Amino acid sequence: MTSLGKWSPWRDRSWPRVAAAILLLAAAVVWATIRGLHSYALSPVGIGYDLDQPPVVLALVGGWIFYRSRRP
Amino acid sequence: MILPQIQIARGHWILGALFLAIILDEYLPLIGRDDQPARSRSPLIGWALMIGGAGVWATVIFADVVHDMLVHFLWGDLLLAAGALELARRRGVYERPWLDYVLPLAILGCGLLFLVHVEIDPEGQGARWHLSMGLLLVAAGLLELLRLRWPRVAAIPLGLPALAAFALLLIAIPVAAAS
Repeated sequence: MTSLGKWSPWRDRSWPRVAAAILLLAAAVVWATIRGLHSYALSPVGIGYDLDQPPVVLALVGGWIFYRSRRP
Repeated sequence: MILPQIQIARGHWILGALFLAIILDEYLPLIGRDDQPARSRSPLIGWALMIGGAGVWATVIFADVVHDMLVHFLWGDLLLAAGALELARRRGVYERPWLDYVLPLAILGCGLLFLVHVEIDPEGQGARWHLSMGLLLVAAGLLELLRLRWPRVAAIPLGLPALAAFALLLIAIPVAAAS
């Protein structure tokens, strides 16, 4: 990992993944604000429904891509 | 048994998210430990394709609409086959040059099945959504095949914008348009 002082977007080639992750997370927040999120019962099915909403799945993908921006 | 519309929409959203994760992980540059570009070897991609295939295939059981059963059955087969091959490649147990064509051909095949879906049932709910999604997948599959045949542009994921647009359409599909 490059140190903060020497960081440059041209050197750190993980930036496309980080940028995509930030874009997805920001879109998820905006989408959730506009559309709203539903809350279901505290049960396995309810938790599944809580997670399976467009803004939430978008945020989950953003988180996954951010995680995958790190070197293997 | 006909699934409630909201359940069908939920299926679209989760499969759209799986697909978005697959294509971003596959096509966005990945840097290895040696600071050189690396190819994604995550087995999650193979699993995601197979889970998507199982999800689509399940609609054959849960849907009573004949054209949906046929198209979804073929979709499921295609995704399961592509997932199995990607999993074998990513685990390193099967390495062949033609495996590079698996994902673009699976994308193209899925796009053509979307168009068949619309052709069989042009008046169906969400026909415009399915047509848009099919055209995006066909364009992306063709662009990715072109990229494989044209090594000079191999570093640029030509199909990525169309694939991301497809996945976002799938995630954004309204409950009333999901079928």
